[in-house]
Amino acid sequence: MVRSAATEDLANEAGSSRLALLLAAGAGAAAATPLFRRLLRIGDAAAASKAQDARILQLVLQLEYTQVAFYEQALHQASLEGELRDFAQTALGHERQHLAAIKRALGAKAGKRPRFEFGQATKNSEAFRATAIKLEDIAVSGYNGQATNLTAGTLAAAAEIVSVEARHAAWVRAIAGEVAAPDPVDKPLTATQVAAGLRAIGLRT
Amino acid sequence: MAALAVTVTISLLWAGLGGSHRPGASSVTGSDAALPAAPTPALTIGRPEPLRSSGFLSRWTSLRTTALARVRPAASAGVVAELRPTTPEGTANVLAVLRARPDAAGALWVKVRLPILPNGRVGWVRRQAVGAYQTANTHFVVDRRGLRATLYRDGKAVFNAPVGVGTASWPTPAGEFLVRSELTRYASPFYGPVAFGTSARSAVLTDWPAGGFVGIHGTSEPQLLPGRVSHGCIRMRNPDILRLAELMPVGTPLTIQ
Amino acid sequence: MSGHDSFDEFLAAADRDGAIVETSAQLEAALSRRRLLVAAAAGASAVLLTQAGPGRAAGGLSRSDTSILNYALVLEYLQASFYTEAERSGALSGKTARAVRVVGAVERAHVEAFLKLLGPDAVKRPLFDFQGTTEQQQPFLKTAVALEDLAVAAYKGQAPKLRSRAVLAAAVGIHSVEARHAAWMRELFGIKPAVHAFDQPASRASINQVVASTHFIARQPRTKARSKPKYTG
Repeated sequence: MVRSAATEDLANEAGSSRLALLLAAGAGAAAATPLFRRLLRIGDAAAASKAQDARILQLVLQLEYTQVAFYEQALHQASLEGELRDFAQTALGHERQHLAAIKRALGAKAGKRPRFEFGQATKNSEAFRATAIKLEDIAVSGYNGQATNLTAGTLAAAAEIVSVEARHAAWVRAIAGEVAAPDPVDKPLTATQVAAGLRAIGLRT
Repeated sequence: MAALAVTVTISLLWAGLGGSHRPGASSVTGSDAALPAAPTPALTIGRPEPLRSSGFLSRWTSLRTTALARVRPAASAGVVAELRPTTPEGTANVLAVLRARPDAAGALWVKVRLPILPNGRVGWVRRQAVGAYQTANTHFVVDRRGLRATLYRDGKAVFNAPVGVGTASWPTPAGEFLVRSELTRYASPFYGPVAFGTSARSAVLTDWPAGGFVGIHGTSEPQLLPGRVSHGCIRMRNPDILRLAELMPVGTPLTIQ
Repeated sequence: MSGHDSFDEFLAAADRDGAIVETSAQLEAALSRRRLLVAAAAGASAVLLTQAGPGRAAGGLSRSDTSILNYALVLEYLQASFYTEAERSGALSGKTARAVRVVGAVERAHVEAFLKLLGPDAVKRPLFDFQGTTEQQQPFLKTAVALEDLAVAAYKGQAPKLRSRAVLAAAVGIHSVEARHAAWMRELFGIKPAVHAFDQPASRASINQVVASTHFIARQPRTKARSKPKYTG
């Protein structure tokens, strides 16, 4: 059921190296950009820049830290079984790869891993399931909320991640027999809303 | 120009620094106040709606290739008719689709109304012998006794006209059929400006060229209508057939009562 | 995403997690005959293939964004028609039937939204021949998985090319919903809803090739003619 380790690594490499390359190439580029080119980016490209990409990646870093910690703790404590356990293990593997990619992209500047207090959400399977839905939905809407702020290259890389989060969200809904995709469109969340959502789930800064 | 550039640059800087800054949020979002909100999406997605009832919908399709219609959905079943992909008029041979079923091997077969004698025959053809399914929400009903024809759309009458039908010797057959072609710009006043081909056939004019199919068409003798006057065709006055042509697409099921 | 020479490969690509999937005999038969028959029509295929030049279309959208939106619209037409025909076929049951009612309604809402934005610039709905995949549950699910994964990869491939931030905002909101659909159809089909940590984009050219390989886009049958009627009269 799982792809071979070699192909998993390739996908991992593709995602993380793309992000890293984009940010490395961008270091200092904003300062060197002539004013007229920055002015051309007003309107359609707004304030997109490598520096802003990095700020956004710090935000999604927190998202991925939260997801990794959540799934790790739940697998240890929530007595997950059957397809729910399979889901948590698969999602954890993906989130670890997302986390690794974003950390590599940010390099030494990557924010530190915060503390988490998930309470009951990682202690029993029903609470876990309900929280997983919330967390994955926050991830999707958080990424979507920043998509229009990213440079094209970082957008392409982020797009490879957000659809996987969306798959997770649908999967965990479907496991409990819920409608897996009830909405016709996913709304964006602002960075502030993402932060508030993560704190409500258990992120402690 | 330079002054404008400077003004804009300052605006950008203010945009970067402005906005409220929530205490305690900085380690999560850094200078998140600097991140622009997403713009209003260019697409407004409305509320998803369920399909409306299919009570007034019928399906039709076209033959892609010569095919054998069989009595049952099985390769070993008896052949009812061989169907050609084109009509005598050179149009696609379109058929009313009744249902689909897989055979024992899992191959899909489609039950269709056959444009053969005796009228009303059905048969099964392989799914890959036919093309895209299309749906019609119209229905043309010919009342031979009342000498009137009505077009319904979604169950509502949208057209009504007096008609001529076949005489006692050359009757218009009763049954369920399909409007399968539309002919125009031919020079033949006898048929009026527009003629629709149907899958109905005269049971008596079996030697008629091109199979003796019943058509729905205009006329050079409107004074005969309504009446039992034709060789089986459904005739209507020319203004009526022109109006019908605006409303009735090919693929419309035809009921002759 | 590599190109697909045949419908076989298109469906097999949905099977990326290596799970053993039965290909129905009906599909096998359809594929071998289909290869001999006439290929897809012009019109919608041309829209898929043609990239736009620079400039502005009516309504303020750039010509290039209009071209991308029309390309996405064809994929939305494809999905909406697929689910609608499947729901009407009556061939689906249980959780799959319920899912199709929800997803079909969403895809139809997507189509309406594109039509509203594009107005007279919208490409017309093509005719689709789904060749039996809307008429049996297992072939339906296998095709649904492939089509949803295709839509996700297509949106992902185009998002960075969009000029307008407002169009991009709309595209990302739809892209993630298509990914939820993809996971849902996979779950119903019995394969892993999310296999890779990173979903790959697909270029317009490769999507075109895949869609062409399905032969789902069909030519309108010729139902009008100028020939003299030979009816009984």
